[in-house]
Amino acid sequence: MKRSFLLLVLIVFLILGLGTGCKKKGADKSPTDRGVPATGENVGETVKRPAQSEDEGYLNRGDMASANIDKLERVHFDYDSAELTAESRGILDRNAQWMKANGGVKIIIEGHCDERGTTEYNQALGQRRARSARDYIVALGVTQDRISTISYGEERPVSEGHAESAWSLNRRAEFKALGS
Amino acid sequence: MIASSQYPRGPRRSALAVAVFLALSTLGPVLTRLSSAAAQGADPDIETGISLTAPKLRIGVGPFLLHREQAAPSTGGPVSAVELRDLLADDLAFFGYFDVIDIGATYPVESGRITRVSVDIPPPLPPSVGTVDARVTADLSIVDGGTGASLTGYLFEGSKDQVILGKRYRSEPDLARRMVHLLADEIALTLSGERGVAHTQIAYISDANKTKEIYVMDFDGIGNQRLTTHRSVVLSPSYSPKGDRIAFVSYADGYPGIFQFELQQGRSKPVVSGPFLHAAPAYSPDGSQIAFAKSTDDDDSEIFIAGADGSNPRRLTHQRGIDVSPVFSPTGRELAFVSARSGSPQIWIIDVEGLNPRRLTFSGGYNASPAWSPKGDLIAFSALVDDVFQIRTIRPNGEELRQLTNGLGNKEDPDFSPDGRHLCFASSELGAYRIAVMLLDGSGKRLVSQGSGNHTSPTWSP
Repeated sequence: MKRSFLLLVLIVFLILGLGTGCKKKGADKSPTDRGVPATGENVGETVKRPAQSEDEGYLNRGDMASANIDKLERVHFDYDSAELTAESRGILDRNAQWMKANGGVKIIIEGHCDERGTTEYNQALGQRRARSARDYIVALGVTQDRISTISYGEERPVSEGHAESAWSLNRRAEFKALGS
Repeated sequence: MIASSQYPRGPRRSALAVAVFLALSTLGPVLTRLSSAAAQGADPDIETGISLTAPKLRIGVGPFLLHREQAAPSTGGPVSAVELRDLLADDLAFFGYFDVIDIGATYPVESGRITRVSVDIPPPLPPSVGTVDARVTADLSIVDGGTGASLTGYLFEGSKDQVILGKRYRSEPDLARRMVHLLADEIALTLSGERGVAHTQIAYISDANKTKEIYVMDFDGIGNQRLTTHRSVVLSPSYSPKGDRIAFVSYADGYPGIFQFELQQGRSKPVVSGPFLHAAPAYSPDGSQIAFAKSTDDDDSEIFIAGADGSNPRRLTHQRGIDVSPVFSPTGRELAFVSARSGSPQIWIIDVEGLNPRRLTFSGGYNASPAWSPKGDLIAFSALVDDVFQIRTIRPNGEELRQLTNGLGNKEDPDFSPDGRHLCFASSELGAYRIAVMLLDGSGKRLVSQGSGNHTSPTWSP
């Protein structure tokens, strides 16, 4: 297999070599007699400059959320978990009451993760955290079409530290007014 | 445009190539034991490194000759013969199968005259060098009043003056590095039967200018350039098989959508969007399809495949639990992906029809970011070992688990070089994340990305 492949490669190269050898004879000014590339303009490979980025100013529409809602408290999660803790349920009970008392408000729940784990897995995990929070307040009677969800994965930490004290704050769901 | 000059090969040339080729294909089950199992992040039960053991070829590099139109044998300016010779030596050493021998940076100059007879006859080997299997010299010319440059490289067999490869390149003087990279890759092709990777680029994410954007650099970290300007969050770049596009995720439209950056046009455009999570795109081997993760009605992410333009999306997975980070096998018949359906993130394989999902990794509680080798024989991934991410590899049949990195600092998001001999990954061993490259046997590791910020999620161009 390998031997025949190499033979093929060799044959192709020999043909190419003969081809350029023939082409060269006319334009050749200072060749040696051993087939060294001539100094003619047509010999060799032209190396092109890579294309430049024209991406300046791709329209960034900004966040789906338009504003924080102070009365809606964030909830926190355990490592690699989208399960609601007892403390989270207490907070969500209050958030659901506020939602029912302010019937016109549409919200978006943002799911977030700490920095540990891969970017992509954390995006998926953040989505499930947002969903857990949404399901709970929908079960308490808030209509589903008032609540959107989005995951920012590990991209929007509230604490920049690299220890559990920061991580526990970053594993969260936030409740914000949905932009129009 | 391209009219490369080639030379008739000497009779020993094919024998030499066959010998090298066979030596290189013995990447096999030879293992190296951990020298210190107590090292941070080391698991004493897991072998380290994929053996690339093969007798290395001794290749002599130099001298390079720079001559301007006035034939002044000076160096400096945008093109330096010494720098380009060192660059060629670095490229050849990086490939991992050459012992690079310095045989002089420039031709000797005596009484203001260059003591060489002809460009394609190398000067005599210095006695201290001993024997070599091959040697390279090159001739650099600054032409067209300083606006053009040409590089002609010569590969000689052994210690003789028999030319076995001659290549000429033309460019502008500031692209001289690129000409040397292309020459290095041709030398590798001639001597090993496989093109080198010095022509390649690595694209990655950097937050150096506040928001995360895609940047691209040569494989050695030079020539860094920003590609996207979304001023949002840009994640997970992945090269197309032809290298003309990069798929990625951006939040610029509000929700995370799949985008494509077209390198010739220099622009990005949306491919799959909507009020869902879209994550982790990867092209099929023929570039016609794209696999990605998408959240479904219950906000659980599943694996989808669509046309490369986002058309006709098709769902592959249906299990409860996060499914993310799909990558095609080189045959396009299967995908590796991350699934938490067993309770923790593990690497799974599924047929492209969505059938026969099977768990690949069983060691450790967090295995993610799979990359499938170009030859199909390995899957590399990030594994959490003693609270630190390390790079591991496994065969697609679940055998031969290996750990390629050790020590402090996370090593994440591996991707293979097109020749399958190297990996790039993001490493935080110095604090901030930098893009690292190394050979599969764990040797030759270097942090290549330059500048400030964190550099993550590398993807290696074809």
